[in-house]
Amino acid sequence: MGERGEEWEAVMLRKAEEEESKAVKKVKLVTSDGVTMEVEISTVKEMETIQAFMNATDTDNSIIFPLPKVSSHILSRIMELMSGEYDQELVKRLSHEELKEICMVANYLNMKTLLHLTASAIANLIQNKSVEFVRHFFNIINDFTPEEEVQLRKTHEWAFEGVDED
Amino acid sequence: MVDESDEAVMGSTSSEPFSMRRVLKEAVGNNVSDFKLLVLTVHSVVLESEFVRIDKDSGMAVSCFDLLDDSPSAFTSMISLRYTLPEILVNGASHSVNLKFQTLGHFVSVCGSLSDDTGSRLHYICLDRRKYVRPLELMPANSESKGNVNDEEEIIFGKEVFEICKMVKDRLALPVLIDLCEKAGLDPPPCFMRLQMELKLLILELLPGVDLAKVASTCSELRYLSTSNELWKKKYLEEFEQGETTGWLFKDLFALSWKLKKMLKGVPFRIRSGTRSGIAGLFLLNPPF
Repeated sequence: MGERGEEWEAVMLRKAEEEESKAVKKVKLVTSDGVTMEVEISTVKEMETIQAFMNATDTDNSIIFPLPKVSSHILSRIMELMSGEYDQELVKRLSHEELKEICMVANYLNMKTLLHLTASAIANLIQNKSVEFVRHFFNIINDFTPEEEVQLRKTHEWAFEGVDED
Repeated sequence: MVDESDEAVMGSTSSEPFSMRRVLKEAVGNNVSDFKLLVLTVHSVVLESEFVRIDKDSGMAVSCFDLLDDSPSAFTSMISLRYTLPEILVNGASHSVNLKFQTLGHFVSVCGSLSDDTGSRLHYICLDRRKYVRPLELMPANSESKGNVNDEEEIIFGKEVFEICKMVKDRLALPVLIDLCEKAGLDPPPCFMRLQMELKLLILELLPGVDLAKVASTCSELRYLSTSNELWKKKYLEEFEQGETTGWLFKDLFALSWKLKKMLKGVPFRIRSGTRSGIAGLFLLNPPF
């Protein structure tokens, strides 16, 4: 009888372990450059695009999610920002290119906090800057005719005083 | 006649409906049906995303003249249009996308997909005739009478036109553009400016009014995106802390309040966050227009 009891206990223990491993189920994110990053399910919670996909599939197997528009470099930057609880200081350390990329990815993955943080950072960067700076920053091609440009400068004259040095 | 060759060659990245205005003017002049008006609207937005229309059989670039034809035999409730990119035409490849328009009661549905790949993603939008047709009909006339300060109707209808442009661009033109680039082995639309209008609008919303005016001077797309009266109303209320005001073009009101404030201060200055004043209260007593 005692032996039976032990066997029973062992079965229960194994079941509990299984449950536990399910609870910390990992998600594999495959980036555009072919790197697979394994992240915890709690990390993915904020990525609403992935979350919606997981809710829809509801599978027990570990989930692989391809991110063809996200490089491993950008994804690891995002992970850093998430684990640093979106510290403004971390955002300031990003290059302009990284910032723009992350903003686009946040929009794509529907990460509200990150999207707001990066969009605000971009808005801050172009504040009080010249038109030429903003064009350069966003890779904007000036498609105005010289006449239109003159006209715009005239109507927006009030806004052109005291911009910072580029 | 509508000449769309410029758009095809130049590949304008603008979402300012320049060609749309011309196409709509022609359409309204020809007194086309509601269905055709919506087809032409979508067509003009799609052109502005760098697409060219091609003939289904010959694969050659064609214009939209036939869409303006108002003979009874012309399409009335269903039509498919085919588009490709100038780069693909130049390379002699045959990849293209198909847009299928269909009438469903009050709605016109538009379904976009790759035309040579039946398993490709479908992108679908549904346009409510009751909501969009009237604003679109009024648009060519409206844009000629710009500067009419108290024209509430223009402001309201401008919003509908803006909304339909945004929907067609974000949910149809951009997704099929990405699919087509992928299929044809072209680089996906690369630069930040081809981003969803949603994201650009978000950034514009976060800018102070004075910077919004500068950003509006960078290119025609951002100029268009920053014309929203709602947006300027927000900026005006943020900057000058006024109560609810209606019936204004808020961009003009903002500029006036800004200039007046500067004048009263006597020295060039810039409002940093935190410094605010209620200068426009003066306008309530003594409207400047």
